[in-house]
Amino acid sequence: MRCWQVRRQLLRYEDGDLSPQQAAQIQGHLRACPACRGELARGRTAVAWVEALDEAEAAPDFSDRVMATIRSGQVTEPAGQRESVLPLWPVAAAMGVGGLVLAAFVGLWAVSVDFSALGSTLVAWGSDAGQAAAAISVMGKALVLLVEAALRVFTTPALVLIALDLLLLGVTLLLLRLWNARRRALRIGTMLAM
Amino acid sequence: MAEESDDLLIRRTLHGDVDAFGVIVDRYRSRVFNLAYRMLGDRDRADEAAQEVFIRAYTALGSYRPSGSFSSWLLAIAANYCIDSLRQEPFAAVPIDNPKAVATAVAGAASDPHAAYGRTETQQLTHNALGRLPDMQRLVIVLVHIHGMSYQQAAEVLGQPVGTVKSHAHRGRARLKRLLAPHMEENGL
Ligand SMILES: [Zn+2]
Repeated sequence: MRCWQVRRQLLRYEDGDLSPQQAAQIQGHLRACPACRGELARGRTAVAWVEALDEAEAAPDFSDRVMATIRSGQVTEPAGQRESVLPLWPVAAAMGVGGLVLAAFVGLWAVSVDFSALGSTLVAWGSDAGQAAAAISVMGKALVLLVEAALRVFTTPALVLIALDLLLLGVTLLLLRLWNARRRALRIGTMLAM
Repeated sequence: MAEESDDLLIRRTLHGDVDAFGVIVDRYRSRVFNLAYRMLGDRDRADEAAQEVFIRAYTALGSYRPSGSFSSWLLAIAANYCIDSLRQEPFAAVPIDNPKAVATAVAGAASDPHAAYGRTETQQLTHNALGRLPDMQRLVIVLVHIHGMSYQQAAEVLGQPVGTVKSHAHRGRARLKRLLAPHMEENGL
């Protein structure tokens, strides 16, 4: 590597931004080249001097003066409670209804499980398991009845589509809200962009 | 007594408890003043700027979101104020050949200005070299190398991509090295 190539990479080398191979090349050059070593040392000294600057202390009455200005009544008070970017209830409503549809699809799957068959398998394992199996079978049948009742409401394709739309809307609103909150928090920062 | 979190103090302030804001001012006055001092170059100007930054922060407190860090939010206001102020009037360098000016300008000047002078000559040269950087380069150097922020945190304060912040930092460091190198040779470095 040439000196000018090394010097262009020196800061990235110090920041640890180079690949191990690139870093090894720089190290190799530095071992052989006093001029580039000096350049690296001067860069480090400059940063060390900045970092060693004494912390500038504010005047002892600094806080008192800020608070006196605020209490003088000449300063606009902060706008009371932080207003929400977007109310949460549309998100909750949309996601709640959408969630019900999802539950119905899970129910569809549950109906397809044969609980009596599951019970018989357990009976074959022994008498203790037999009692548990009977209970599972009964609970399974009850679940099937419940799910079937729920499904009757949702089997209309239009209803399913509307509910899915709501779920999607809920997710969109939530993302919008999160994005908005972040953008607002950084708004003052972005005014600096130049 | 346990220290109250920034967010709790802010909630109390928003509910009308002005004293809670006083705790915030005490907690951050050094950081804000120090940023203003290194950005503007002069203690009086830094004092005025830091006062105004806290007043602005108080007025705008309702727009602070706890999703970010309060210190980033506050330092963004300070950085913004300093950049605006520098458009009206540039960095005020301290004349190095004037020991009295140096001693009074040195942050937290010691009781004996002349004893402080030798030790602070490098400090003053460094301070003035910082002042000769373009404002954004100086701002990034101050945030990263004086406030000890990561590039990521500095990027959050400035609302700029990390890559841009890094490039300001690198150009600033290269320039500082050139400005301070003659003085390093004097000191046999
Ligand atoms: Zn070389």
